[in-house]
Amino acid sequence: MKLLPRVMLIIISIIFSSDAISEIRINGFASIVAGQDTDNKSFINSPYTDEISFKAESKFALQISTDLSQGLSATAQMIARGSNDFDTVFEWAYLSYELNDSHTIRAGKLRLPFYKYSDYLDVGYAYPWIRPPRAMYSLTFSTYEGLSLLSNFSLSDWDISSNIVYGNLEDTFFKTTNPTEGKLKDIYGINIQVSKDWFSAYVAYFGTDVLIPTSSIETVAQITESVSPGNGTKISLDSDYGDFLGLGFTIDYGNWLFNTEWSAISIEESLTLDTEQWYTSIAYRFDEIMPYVTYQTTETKRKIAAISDTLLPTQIHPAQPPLNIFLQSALDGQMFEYNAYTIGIKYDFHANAALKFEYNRYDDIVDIGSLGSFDNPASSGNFSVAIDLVF
Amino acid sequence: MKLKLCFLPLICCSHFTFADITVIVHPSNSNAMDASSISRLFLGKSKKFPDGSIAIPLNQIEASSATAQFNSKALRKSSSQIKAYWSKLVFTGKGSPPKSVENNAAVLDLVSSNPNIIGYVESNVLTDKVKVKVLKTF
Repeated sequence: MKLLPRVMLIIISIIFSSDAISEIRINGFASIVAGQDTDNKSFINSPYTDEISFKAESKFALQISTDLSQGLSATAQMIARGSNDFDTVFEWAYLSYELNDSHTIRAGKLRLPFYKYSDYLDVGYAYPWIRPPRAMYSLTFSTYEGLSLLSNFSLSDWDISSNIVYGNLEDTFFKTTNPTEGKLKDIYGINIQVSKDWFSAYVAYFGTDVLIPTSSIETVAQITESVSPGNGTKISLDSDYGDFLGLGFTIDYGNWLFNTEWSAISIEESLTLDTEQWYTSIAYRFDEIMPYVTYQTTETKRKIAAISDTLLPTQIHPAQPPLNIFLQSALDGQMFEYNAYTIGIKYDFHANAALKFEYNRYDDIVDIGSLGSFDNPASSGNFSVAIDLVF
Repeated sequence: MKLKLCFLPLICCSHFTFADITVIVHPSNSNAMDASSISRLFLGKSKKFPDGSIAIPLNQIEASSATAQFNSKALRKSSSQIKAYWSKLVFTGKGSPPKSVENNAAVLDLVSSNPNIIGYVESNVLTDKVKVKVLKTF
């Protein structure tokens, strides 16, 4: 966090101090999105309520980049999001150096390439939907500070590209439920993509040490430590190894566009549940009009508490349940799942702009304590309309 | 046979209503390229001619009729697909689209003066007076 403003300052001063030979490029994009839920259930995965909002997903971004000759370039992207009261922040800021034709190294604040659309998550114009399927694109952090090595190869007719990353991230995690300053330390990983003509596929793996002292988890960790000394660490997010595995493929054949992605996320030795999510989407181009349908789903895997059956003392819990029973209810309280059907249409009404309409039907919602249960899952719906621009 | 003849006027008509698109290079450029390697250059997937020399692809502006023809015939994509393709690269720092010039004449001018430039023009602007080499016609 401390290092970052300095890095940005350097990058920005490089961009603006570069002499007349180097050329400054300014590009931008914007999305104006309005949405409204069809009910007042406030389903956590919809950024809307039953009142129409233009703010939740609207954004404006400007990108400045410059080539400093001999393969060196600097890029900064500023974005103002409605969800952040349109405060402008740096989303990307990095130096890039072309080592040779097939390798480029980048350093600074960069995007973590978890998913197929990670790199241009914010650029609505670049994908058919109003937003990438949220069940799949569930990680709320998307950038890191560190290094990235981009490589490109071609093998007969196949294009192979990889992005190897290393870095750290300090951020506010669990923003909507339990905002906590935390850290992802020693993030490393790789995303490999292969493509040929109308087919492309990727696989991504990332690992990191997770340090997020969330108050709700810390409370449970303290209780565990007091009842079963030495075991509090099995509850806390105290440098526990977390990993992400994702894969997907795309078929862009003639007028058809088919996309599917799957991912699994887990954090060891902590009071968290593993999750698994996937989606599949198909779209058809009629010149400027592209209708699409998507199915997406996410679920947590039930975890069994097996630390100790010592009874909790009465001052902690009057009913004196065994620790494992107490932990089991804390784990089960995090169970979360839903699926959604999306139907939408994208209309390229202008060379630089697209208009989109989308309806999402959320089903089988189990968000224990907030909405729905396994016995009685909930449903919800949302309408959205968007204009996406690039310039 | 009769049936085939019936179609002939149709084929001819469609041939003449849309101008062909010709990809051109400097007369001293001795590279031969097929449709797929031309498309790779214009999509930023490769940066060199087959002989290893640097290739500078040159676009025409979006409003030019040659651009739409080139996108659909050579790159086999619509203009908005091309736009989306480049926004993916531009906003991730992975590449930027070729420079664009105003019209066929500007392309002829630049191609005839630089052996590294590869451009496209509507075929009907090519005359004996123009000092460029035809690489491929779509």
